[in-house]
Amino acid sequence: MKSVAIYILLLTILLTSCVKTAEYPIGTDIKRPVLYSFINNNEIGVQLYWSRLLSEEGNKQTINNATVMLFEDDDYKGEMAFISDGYYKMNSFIPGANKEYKLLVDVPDYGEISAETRMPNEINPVFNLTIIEDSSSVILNQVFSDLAGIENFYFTNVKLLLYFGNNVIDTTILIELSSPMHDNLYNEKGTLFHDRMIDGQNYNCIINIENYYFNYYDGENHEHVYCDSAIIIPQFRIINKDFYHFYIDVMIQNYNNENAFSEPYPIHCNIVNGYGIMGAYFEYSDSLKHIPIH
Amino acid sequence: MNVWEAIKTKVVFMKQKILVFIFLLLFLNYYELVAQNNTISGYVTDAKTGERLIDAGIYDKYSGAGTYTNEYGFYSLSLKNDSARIVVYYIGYKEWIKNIKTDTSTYLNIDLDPVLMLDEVIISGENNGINKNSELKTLSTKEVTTLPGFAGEKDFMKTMHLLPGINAGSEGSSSIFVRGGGDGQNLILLDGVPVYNTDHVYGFLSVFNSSAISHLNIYKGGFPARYGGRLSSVIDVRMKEGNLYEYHGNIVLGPVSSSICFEGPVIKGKTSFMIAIRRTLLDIITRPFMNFFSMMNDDAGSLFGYYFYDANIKINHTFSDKDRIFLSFYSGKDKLFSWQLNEFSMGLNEIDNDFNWGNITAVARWNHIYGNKLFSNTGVSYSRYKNGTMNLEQFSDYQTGDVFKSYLYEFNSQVQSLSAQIDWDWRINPANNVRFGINYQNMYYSPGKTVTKTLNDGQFLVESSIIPNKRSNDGYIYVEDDIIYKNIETNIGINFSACFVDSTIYPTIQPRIRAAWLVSENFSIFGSYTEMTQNIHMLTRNTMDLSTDLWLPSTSTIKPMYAKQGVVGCKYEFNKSITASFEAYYKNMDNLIEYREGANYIENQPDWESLVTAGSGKAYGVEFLLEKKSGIVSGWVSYTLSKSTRKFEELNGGKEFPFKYDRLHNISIVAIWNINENVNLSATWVYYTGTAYTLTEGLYPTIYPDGSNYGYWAQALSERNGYRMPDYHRLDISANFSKIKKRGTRIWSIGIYNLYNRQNPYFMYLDYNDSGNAILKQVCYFPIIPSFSYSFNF
Repeated sequence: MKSVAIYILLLTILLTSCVKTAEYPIGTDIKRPVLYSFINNNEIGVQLYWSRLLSEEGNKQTINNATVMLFEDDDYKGEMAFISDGYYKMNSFIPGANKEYKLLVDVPDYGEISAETRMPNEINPVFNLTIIEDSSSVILNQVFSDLAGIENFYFTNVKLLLYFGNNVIDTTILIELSSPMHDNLYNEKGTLFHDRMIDGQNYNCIINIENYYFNYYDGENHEHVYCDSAIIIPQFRIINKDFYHFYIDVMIQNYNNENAFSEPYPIHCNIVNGYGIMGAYFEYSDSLKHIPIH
Repeated sequence: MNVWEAIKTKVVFMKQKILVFIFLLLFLNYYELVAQNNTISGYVTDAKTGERLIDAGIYDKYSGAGTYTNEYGFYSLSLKNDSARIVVYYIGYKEWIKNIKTDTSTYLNIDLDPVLMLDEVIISGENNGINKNSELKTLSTKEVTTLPGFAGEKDFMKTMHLLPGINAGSEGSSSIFVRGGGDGQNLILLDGVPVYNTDHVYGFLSVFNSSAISHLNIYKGGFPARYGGRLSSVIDVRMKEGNLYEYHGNIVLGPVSSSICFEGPVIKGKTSFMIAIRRTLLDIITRPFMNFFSMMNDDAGSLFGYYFYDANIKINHTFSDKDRIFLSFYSGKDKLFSWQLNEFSMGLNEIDNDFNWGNITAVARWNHIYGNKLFSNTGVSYSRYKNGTMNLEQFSDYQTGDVFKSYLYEFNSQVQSLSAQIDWDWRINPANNVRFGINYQNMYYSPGKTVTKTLNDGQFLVESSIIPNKRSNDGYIYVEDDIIYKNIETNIGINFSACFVDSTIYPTIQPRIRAAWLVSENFSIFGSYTEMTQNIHMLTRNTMDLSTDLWLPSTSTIKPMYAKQGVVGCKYEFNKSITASFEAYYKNMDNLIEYREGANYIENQPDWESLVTAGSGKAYGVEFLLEKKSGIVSGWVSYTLSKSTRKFEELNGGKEFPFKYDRLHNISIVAIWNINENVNLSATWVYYTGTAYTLTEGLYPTIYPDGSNYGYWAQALSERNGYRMPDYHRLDISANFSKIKKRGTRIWSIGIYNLYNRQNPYFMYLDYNDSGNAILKQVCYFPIIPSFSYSFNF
């Protein structure tokens, strides 16, 4: 409410003063390349776009004619192949744990951009389900050992495939981790958290999957219709610092966007001469079958 | 580490240096201490009003020995000869010369007669080898009221912006930034009491009513050890004491505020009072019009306005030549308010908002003279700054008047201090003036308390949140010595302070050294090194300048700020009126705090410490001042070339960035033309580099790792404070026409602020022109503004 008073004050000053505006052209707005790359245990890919001028509207503009080179621990590994729509991929290459990866991208009519990131260490989580009696709810356990003495970051997401006869519905679960992960941030794509509270410990990342995920309400017949079976697909990642900080910063800047009283918030960026992020993660997944109790 | 171990660690570390300092003091003063001298002592006062004159010079023409009066007009001069030819001088007054016998110690009060024209004043007729602190600048009421002011208002704080090394904040603001330091790093004292907020009308005016103020001293460096608690400057504002002999007054009517000041004796020659009250009148004048418009629009009622008031009261009583007491009081408040009453089908809807802030200060002092060389000042004081917001909306039944629905929001924040201090001023001999003392301050911080009360459907709900209150105990002891040896004047001092808060103690030892060498009659070289600590933090926003600054304590995790400053300079006197000075400074500051990136304004945030981050700053520059102090035409030209930066690990990616009010160039030209006894013209021209700010340079898409769209266009921000607003400059002129009337003197002042209508920016924002291109727009508040005011001195 103090904000309201301050708005009133600002309005008062504006209305009662002789306000004049003077225009200053911003000058040569420069579009910069935007690079996204998330190295993982399955592939190395790069997505390239152009940034947008403040005056522009419209969709993302991809960069389709860049040269993208990959280095592993300063060894040149080759040039990435252009696939489509600004996407480039390195074929037949599996990244290694704790290795440093560097991208050098030459963008015609712009110049060179580069980025570096380090692959995290591997962990090997174990997934299992705990059935809750007399209920369709189920607990997903994701047990892993945090590596002691270093800062680790994690991402977790759970997909559900629900089988209603021959129909399959694909959905994800909104995960809110309980204590002690106090400052996790989440959205429908998954949840990020760090190891500040669990450094070096064996940790069970528990996710409650309530029974309402396994049914829908049939308004005509006034009843809940449960799926015949469900496949629970946990996606658990150990992510690196760049990945974590980028998405945390995007969430915060997005949240603060409507608040004139928040401090400017820059987004973490490890792209030299450009925008975006180069991150890395190891992903672990499983497929767990569950038959809900009606 | 417990309290005593912490103290011991620090003291042991400095023990040798303290012992060397004491030995040096004794060694230099031994001969003088045991020598047999006779002493003349007393007060220097204005012959017409009885006001004590501060920093008046007194010297003996025969021996060349001399001294200055202290903050209370006291002097003590020890002489070896049996006779002396005493000369007393003070700017704006005729020289006083008298031959006296000094075969015994004598108590001698000296009255100086004021002069009307400055060219009659002789500034130190003969050089007595004394060189006052070159880093001290004094502003008198006469200077301030002669110069043009914003909308005709004469203001001490605004006049300080014209001095080298002192930067202004945003357009119209009275904030001051001294040598790259923040606005909260200035120790602003009103009769020795700290003032925590100096703004009226959001900084367009300061709390210092020029009708009530005698003068203002500002130290930008070379701080004597008796001052502590802030990093960047000491601004010592002194109220008038009141005329001991006659009743006089002053009425000022201006477009923004009007004031009345009245002073005079309670007991002639012994007790005097001074009362000055100031208030805006615009809200009173416009109220009937607002009621009229409200009636025309069929409103049940509405009111909207703004006002401020302040009152200065001072009483002093002289018990004897040895004892005197002072009581000073200040109270001021600003309020922005709106009220509206609407009728609807069920009843009345009332909306009431107000936003207010204000200060109270009070001090009681006792001056006592021991013998004829030792002066003491004992005082207790209280200071409080408070700001608050109230928003109320309620619905009441038309017939019964009962309120059936309401929402009340209140926010209050305050800082209070209760202080006690004793200062001694020991005038050992003309070459040696020792000061020592002790100061204790109990601080109370209430950064923010929010209460909401809701009545709905018969249910009453009260919620509150509070930023935890804190108390701290701060204190310091100091000793300093002004030593004059041939052509070298030094001030060597040490300030030992400690802050007790949250079961943590922060002890510091702050050396203060200043020296000046009078190379020749006209030329002097000076330098200083000072270390300062500040236990109280002011947290300001990087994005906008409004009264959202908060005073916060040091805590167990937020350490006190610390600064080290070195200054070298020189001064050349072309003649008794024209001087040129040059100074170079370098300052380091540690433990500064800023909001973290993305932090919201900390209202309703109990854990404020997690929203701030600590870092360091540095500032360096050169200052040039050419000054003509007297004559038909007087004034000065000042130029500052400087740089001020900050470095925080958690801001701007850990890279150094410009301070928001870093101004590479700062130029002020001030000219006063005394055409005759009744008419003077003045002009000021200021120029400075634009304010630094952060801008969004572009937008880019965000995606998830699987390539799907995140749905947000991220803002690519520039380097923190990486952009500059256009440079600021403006020209102000004014003319004062005085005429002696039957009962007093009336003065018409007319002026023009921003004569050539420069559109200086207040803030910048992004917009689009008709072609759809992004452009930067600026909001300018003050175009050319003519003004007039009327004052009557009786």
